This record gives sequence, structure tokens and C-alpha cells, in this order.
Amino acid sequence: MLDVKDLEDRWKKYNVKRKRPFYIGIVVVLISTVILSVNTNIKQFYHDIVSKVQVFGHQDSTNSLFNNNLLTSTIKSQYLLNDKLTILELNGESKGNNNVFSKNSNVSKSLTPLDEDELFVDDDIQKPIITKKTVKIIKIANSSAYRDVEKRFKRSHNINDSIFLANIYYQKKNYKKAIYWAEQTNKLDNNIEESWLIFAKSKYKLGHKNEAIHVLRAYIRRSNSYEAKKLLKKLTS
Amino acid sequence: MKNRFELAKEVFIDSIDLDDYIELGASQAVYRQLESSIEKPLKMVLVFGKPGTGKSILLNRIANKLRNKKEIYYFDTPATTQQEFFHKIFKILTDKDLPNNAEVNFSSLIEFCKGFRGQREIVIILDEAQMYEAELMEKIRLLSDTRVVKFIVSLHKTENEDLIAKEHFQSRIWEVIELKNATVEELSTYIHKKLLKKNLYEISNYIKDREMKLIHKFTDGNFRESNKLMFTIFEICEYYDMNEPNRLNSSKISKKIIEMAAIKLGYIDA
Repeated sequence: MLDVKDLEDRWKKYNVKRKRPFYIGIVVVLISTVILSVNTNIKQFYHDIVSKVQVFGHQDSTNSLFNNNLLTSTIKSQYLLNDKLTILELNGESKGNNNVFSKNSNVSKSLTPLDEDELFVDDDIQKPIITKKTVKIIKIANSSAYRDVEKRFKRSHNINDSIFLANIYYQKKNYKKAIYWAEQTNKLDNNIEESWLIFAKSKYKLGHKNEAIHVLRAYIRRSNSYEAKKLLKKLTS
Repeated sequence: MKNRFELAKEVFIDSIDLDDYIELGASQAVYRQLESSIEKPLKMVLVFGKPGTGKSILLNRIANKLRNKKEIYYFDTPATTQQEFFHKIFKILTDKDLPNNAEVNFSSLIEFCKGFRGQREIVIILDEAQMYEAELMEKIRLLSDTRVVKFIVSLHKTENEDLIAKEHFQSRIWEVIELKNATVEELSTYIHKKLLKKNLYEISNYIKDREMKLIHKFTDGNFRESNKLMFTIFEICEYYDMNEPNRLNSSKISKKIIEMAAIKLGYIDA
């Protein structure tokens, strides 16, 4: 006898092993997102500083702005920044962006008080590019196997075969064949509910709504079938 | 009453029983090719393919089909000694048994065979011929040279055996028929037909195309391997059906069950 519990355990281990690269990928993506987000905020912060300074009428180069003591208090009050960030902004000794970005951890903590509407949005980073992919699913019809059943039906006239074929063709959306096999079933035994229902549903799918309703009503009259009533209600609603 | 999965499981017990033969497009073509080779005035025909590609059932089927038309014999298991082999040949030629300790004089046998030229045409099918030793194969060739006995030689195709086959038969074989593994579509037809043959409609519908691709991925379309995998899949289903039915998907075989069966058979290293 097969030890299914042991197999389940082995499958669980295999599943974890198989999904490990996927989880690692997610962690890498998350870390990358956080880093990108921090960088974006720093860029935004830098741009804000420049724009605020320009508002105050200072038209000097960026380098000179960083050395201006007067600016310290203005920016500090404007953004409610903590001391660490102030040091970062103003003690950069005019070394440009690289210096500003070099203390990411301090900056990221200091950026939280900013208002949302002041955020600089970098389209390339904030909006992920979504490429739509179309997956073409080719359904392999195992028609050869069904043909065997058809051949067998011709010899045996077994209702199980004909109702199976009606069902399978309906599932495969071959409604004409589904109708044909439902009729074959009905010829052998007109009390098989499934054949009536498949017939009606297939007619409906082919756009013959009135015919489908007519057939269902006829069947309900003779059988008072709950399933048929349910289907009729569905088709007429 | 047997559980439905137990019935399905039994369908995939590996056998070369002709009742279990499933006709596929590719197997029909190979069958016709072999049938036509037998009709041609060839001395030896080589049938080869990987284990589990359906060689034995094909040979069994052709032997059975031509039994009433031709003098055809199927050696399904190789003779362990030359003496045993020639005792069998002697029995075919003379319809008489030799005493166990008697030895057949090969030269006399050849001469005896030549005496039937134009009168008899005997076809002997040798399955698992890779197990015959080189010396015996040489004698088989000499027997076929009499043009009274035609040999259909079936071999496994592994890398080493393929080499042996080539060395032995390169200049002697007149026709080569290769059997290959099934494509996804052929395997799908094979599995569905097998189930439908036993009226297991519901189970047949239980295996969808996507799951069939996974089964093919594990077995590479090899019929014997596929039979083993299907047997194990249904064995697992049978267990769940009897003990934890809520864990069975009602519309299809779950990927998990297929993978569990693959783990059991060593297709997946877990």
C-alpha cells in the first residue's frame, strides 16, 4: 500500500524548494523598490531645496546655495527637518548630488514629514511599465478517442456512450454535435433529463432561444423537472 | 464493488496483452511498415526503440494477426543457450522435439533448411535480441541466408546497445523500423482510449489537457513510464477517495497528485 502521508511530506519539501527562487525574487524586488523609492525621495528633496531657494531670490549656483547659512533656517522651518538632515544638506561642502545621496539612511528617516502634494513624481520610477502578454492556449481535441466511442455507439446503441458524447461536445462548445448526440439519446430513451437539458442549452447557445424554451416547456409539462424549470428561468430572465 | 480509481488503476497495469492494445496513428504506420517488410524478400528486419516504446506489443500483435496467413513464430524471451535456441528451431522445422541432451549440428541444420527453399517461408520474431550473444547472432544470420527463415529482430535502443546493434547488423539488416516515444497528443489519445475502453468516462474526463502535458513532461511520452505514472496517480486518488475525499478535486486530477506520483517514481528529486 502506498504511503501517501510520506509522499505528501516529500511533496511539501519539494514545493518549498521549488518556490524558493520565486520568494527570493520577491524579496529582491521589494528591496529594489524600497531603494528606488528612497532615491526618488532624495531626488525630490533636492529639487525642492533648489526651487525653494529660487523662490527666495537666490539665483546663485547650487554649490553656493549649500554654503549659505541664511538658507539653513528657512529650509529647516519649511520642512520640519531634523538636525541630522540639516547637517547633511548644509555641510555637503558643495560636492553636488553624490554627497547628498551618500547618507541615505538619515535622509529617508527625515523625509517622512513632507506633504504628499509636495512630492516630486518621477514617472519612470513610480509607474511600472505593464506589458500585456497574450497567451494563446491551444486546446488539443482528443477527437480520435471520441470517434471510437461514436463507432462503438453505432454498434451497441448504448445510452451511456451517446450521453457521454453529448456532454463532451457541449463542453467542447461543439453545440451542433451536442444536439445530435442528445437527439440520439432521446431516440433511445426520451426520459433522460440530461439529454433534454443539453439539447436546450445547445439550442440556446446556437442562438435558437425560442426553440430552447419551447423544448424545455414541453419537457416540464411531461416531467415537472426542477432542473428544467431552473434552466427555463435562467434562459427567460 | 471496486472503487472507480481502483478500476482506473488496473487499466494501466503494464502488459503486452493484445486486449490492452491501443491503436494510435504512429503505431498504425509502424505496424503497416513491419507488415510490408515481412512481405518483402528480406532476410532480416531490425525493430528498435527505447524500452517502453511498444516493441513487444507490436511484435505480439503482428505475430497474432499473421498467424493464419504465414508460418510465423514469436520468441518473446531469449533462449539462454545456443542449444536451447536450436532446439526451438529444430522443433519449428521438423515439428519434432529433440531430447534435452541432444545437440544440433549447425551445418546439417543449414543444409536441412536449404532443402525447404521455395517450399516454406518461415518468419521468426526475436524479441529482446540484445540478449543473444554475438556467436549466436552470426548463426542466425547464416540461417537467414538460406532464405527459408526470415528473422524480425527487436532490440532496445540505449546508447551502448545501439552501438552493438549497429556493429552486428549494419551490413546484414535489410530494413530498420524505429519506434519512438509518443507526442503529447498521442499520449493523450492513448490514455483516454485506454480508459474509455473500460467505460471509465468520468475518469477520462478527469484528465485535462494541461495535466496531460505535465504527465508527458515526466514520462517523455514513454508508454511504459506513462502506465507506471498513471497507475500511481490513480493509486493516490484511490487513497484520498477512500480516506479523505474532500482533498480530491471534483473536476480534474490536481497537479499536486501528479507531482506526488512523480516523486514516488523518482521523476522528481524531492
